[in-house]
Amino acid sequence: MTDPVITARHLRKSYNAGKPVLDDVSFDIRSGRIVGLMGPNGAGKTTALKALLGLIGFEGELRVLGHDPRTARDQLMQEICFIADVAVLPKWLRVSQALDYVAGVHPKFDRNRAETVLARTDVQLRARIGELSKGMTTQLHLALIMAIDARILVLDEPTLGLDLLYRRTFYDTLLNDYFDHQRTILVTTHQVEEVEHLLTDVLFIDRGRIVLDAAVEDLSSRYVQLITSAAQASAARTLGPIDEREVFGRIAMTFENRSASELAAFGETRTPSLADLFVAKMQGARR
Amino acid sequence: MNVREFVTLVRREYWEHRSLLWVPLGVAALLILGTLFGTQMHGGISISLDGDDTEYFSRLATDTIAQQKIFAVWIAGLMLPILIASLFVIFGYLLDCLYAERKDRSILFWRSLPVSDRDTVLAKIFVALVATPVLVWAVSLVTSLVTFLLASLKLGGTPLAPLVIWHGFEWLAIQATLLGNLLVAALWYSPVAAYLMLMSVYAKRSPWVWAALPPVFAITAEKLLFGTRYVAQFLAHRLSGYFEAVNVTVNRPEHGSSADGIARSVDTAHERLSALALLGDVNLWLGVALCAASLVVVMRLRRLRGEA
Repeated sequence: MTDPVITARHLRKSYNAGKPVLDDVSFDIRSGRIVGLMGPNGAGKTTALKALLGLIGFEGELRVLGHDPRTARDQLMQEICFIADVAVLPKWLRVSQALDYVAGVHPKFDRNRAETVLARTDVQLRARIGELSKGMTTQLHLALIMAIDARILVLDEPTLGLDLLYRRTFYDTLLNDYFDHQRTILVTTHQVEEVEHLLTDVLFIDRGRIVLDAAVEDLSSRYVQLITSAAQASAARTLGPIDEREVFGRIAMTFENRSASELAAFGETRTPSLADLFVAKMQGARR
Repeated sequence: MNVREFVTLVRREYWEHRSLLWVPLGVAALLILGTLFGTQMHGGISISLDGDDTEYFSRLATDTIAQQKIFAVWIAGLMLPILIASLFVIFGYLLDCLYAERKDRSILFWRSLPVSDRDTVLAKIFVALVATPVLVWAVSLVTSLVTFLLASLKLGGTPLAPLVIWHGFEWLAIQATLLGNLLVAALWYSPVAAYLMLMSVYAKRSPWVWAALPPVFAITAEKLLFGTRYVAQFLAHRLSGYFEAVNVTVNRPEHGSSADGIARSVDTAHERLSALALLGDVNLWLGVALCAASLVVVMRLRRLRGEA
């Protein structure tokens, strides 16, 4: 195991003395992983990311690439790239100016690479960002980010509001042209299905608390979904499912730390999809 | 912070606030067009020939020193309209420069790059107090050459011809004086600039209203409570101080309209071309100190405001 690039211990944050947005959050993120930070709206995802990026103050201990983001944000920003949930590129900026700007302030920016990526899109260098569609703006942002030799890439709902075509291309480009095992990607989304195939690790967060922290490859040994009939359901229930729902007259139950062989007597078993697990965990946390 | 980064930050300000560029250029273009088509001279010197003027110009034709003086006053006067228009634009720029980025949320993009709040704030105040004044100076320098050329084509061979004799050394000297004046003005107005940036970074909306409220409130409260106007006088002096120090308008009534009177008016204006004396005013340096302290607060506030 490599050393963690991000270590968080007992993070707490609340705004204006309200309920905590982060409530004793601890996790490690290792190098070369693609981590999905998932949770319902208002769960604390964006707050956690902002803390990592040194954009907000918080209580607790946080090391990102060995730096404390509260005090060493400027050094940290040389190693971290960030795309926020909505288009935050300013409308008045021209595409060529965006390239000039990042080239001027970021020592690890490779302008040729950004131009190569942009050449594959419809984004014109002369255009102002206000004239681009949302999808094109995201393509520009991605082109800028991909040309920066950063160790951590943070994506906060990067595909929100994009149509399917752009969403698919976005993640394909990211995975094929950007990701290598030296880099770490941390992505938040509530469109779980969309990122399921690319994640190596998942962190579920709900109401400021981590409810699941696991490697994707370990999920199949920890979680089993049982599809059973109404008749057998009550027997299965004695084994303590963490979630249960009805699908086409059959009952789907999700179990934690039960083996498939133990459950096979009650019906068909399989590994739950990330989306199923997400729902199970979120509802479980609410009961 | 390296030079390349700083230059990039400064360029970025002009990309966003294009009026910082085109307003000085536009006023210069108007001055040049005015010289081309107008009958009036610029720089506050309005000349209509009557008996006294005729006598003045016939004397001027043989008096090189007087020629140099009126030449210098004229060149210096050309900068005034460019400067005054630019001051309004700089004022608007300062109120907008830390507010707009929060309004359009682009602050998240700017802060995702390795640029500190300190460097960002320093680049913005540099644009307001150094880069744009130097631009005003450069534009006025070019304008002086073009208008001089146009004026000499128009006035050569007329009784006003003594006005358009080129004085190269005087021209260089006045350009140096004007550049110095702008830097003095930058120091004099630096606390005003820092105050506007403070309101820009602080205001959740309408930074113009936020900037206007404290002085209006202080002046009104003083008037109501004590019946005095010290705050108003203090602020008026801070806003007009530079223009009190530099006065290039040729005030003829003061000296009468005789040929001697005109000559004395030009002399008086010529004596007041330089603002360097203002550097001896302790109020200027107190203002600079206040500016520095305010900028530290601005840097802190930009970080805090970015949280919301």
